[in-house]
Amino acid sequence: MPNASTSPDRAPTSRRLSRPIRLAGVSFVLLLAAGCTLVPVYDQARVSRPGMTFSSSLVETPQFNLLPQIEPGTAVSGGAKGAGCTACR
Amino acid sequence: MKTPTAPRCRRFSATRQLSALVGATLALASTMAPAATDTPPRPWETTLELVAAHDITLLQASGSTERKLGGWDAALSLALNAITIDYQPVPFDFKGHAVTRRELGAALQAAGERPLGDIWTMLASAGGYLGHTNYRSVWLDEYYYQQYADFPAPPGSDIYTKAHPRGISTMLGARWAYHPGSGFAQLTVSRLRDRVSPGYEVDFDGLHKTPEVLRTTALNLDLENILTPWARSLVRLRAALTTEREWRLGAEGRLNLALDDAWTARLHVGYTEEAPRFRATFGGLELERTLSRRLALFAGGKLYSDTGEIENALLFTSSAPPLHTWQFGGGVRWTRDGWSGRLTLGLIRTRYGATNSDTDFFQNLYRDRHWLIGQLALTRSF
Repeated sequence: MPNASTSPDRAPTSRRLSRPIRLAGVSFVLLLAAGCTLVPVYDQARVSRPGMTFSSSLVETPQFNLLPQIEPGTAVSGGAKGAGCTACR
Repeated sequence: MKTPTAPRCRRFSATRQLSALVGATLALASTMAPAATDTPPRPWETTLELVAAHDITLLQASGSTERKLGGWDAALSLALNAITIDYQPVPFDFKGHAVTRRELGAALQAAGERPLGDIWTMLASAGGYLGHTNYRSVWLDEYYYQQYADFPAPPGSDIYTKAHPRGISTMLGARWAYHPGSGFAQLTVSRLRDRVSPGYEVDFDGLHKTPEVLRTTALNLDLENILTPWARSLVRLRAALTTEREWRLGAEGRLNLALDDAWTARLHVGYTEEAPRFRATFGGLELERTLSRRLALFAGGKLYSDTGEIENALLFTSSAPPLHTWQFGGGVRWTRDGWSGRLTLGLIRTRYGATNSDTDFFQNLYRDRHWLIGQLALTRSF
């Protein structure tokens, strides 16, 4: 039985992923901190145009519902389907 | 062992399911027809999505509508799914044989938002689905069927049973507009119950299957801000705990930039992890050029990488090896006479790490593939 702690790809993968993880973390902190600013409504024309919002409409916001089947780490909702392979052993 | 008539039986069953789904769709559509009374504008959105490789086809058709119900902004959505796989066992799988298998499914969800003043909004939703939720579930169910349908069943062991996946979910939450019009935080708590297609394994006592019923508790926190007159951000944090699993933690950041009056850039990065070893990172960039008030073109790409999934098998594991994908595509978005539409086409290449002796039976499930993806979304505002 393969063991996670002895998997040959684990160490290099961790090292390879550490940099994007740090970048993502720094990005999140910057985005959160920037939320302290206040942009008045009359100055929101550009950020309210089509393609700039985070609407649930798939016309406005591109999002493929079926892609988490191919890329399981991208699932952001759902129970079993968001938990990876439930039929795997 | 499967008899020659089994595939026909399954196709017949699928036809019956499809008939039921069409009937349910028509019934639902009749309930969602515009009322004769004077009501506020109600958007109606229809989406058709296709993801296809040479041996796997995924198709989803969905529709949703929104309307005012008392003090609630209510939304109802229905999705119909079809998964078709050309199952191909590995050459040394002497019990296996090739077969084409098609599974149909449906999902229905009702959601509502109720403003509580100018700052707070209450959120709630409930839904359910029938059918397999992904192609791997179908592929593995076929594998387990061919391997274990005729397996001896000594006392204390399990037997293979045909899977009927289904699930229900409920969600409660609240949205806090800490900067009304430009910044909000949204927290939701979800409870989900799934009856899944289980996994099987053999030990000295016979056949054993994994739990069929999985319960999930999920927390989602969304933070959306208008950072500047030309930048909007969304940070999404997720924590989910599923039966017999560790906490699955995820974070995703999106940043939309209006570069000028015509160009828009959309960036996103994300990360997911689950103990003991699953980690996934992904990110992408999309550029959009507005050609006129009615027409825009866009194109972009995305990279995804993970470490392979968690497994705790005794002998063989059906969990995925490390995966790397890249994706690119583009499309057009248009608006005309009350209709808005978006057509997206793209390609994805998936590349798995090498399988080893523990995963050799699943070489054809975890093979490298080129996928064609397409999505057509239409919105009608009455």
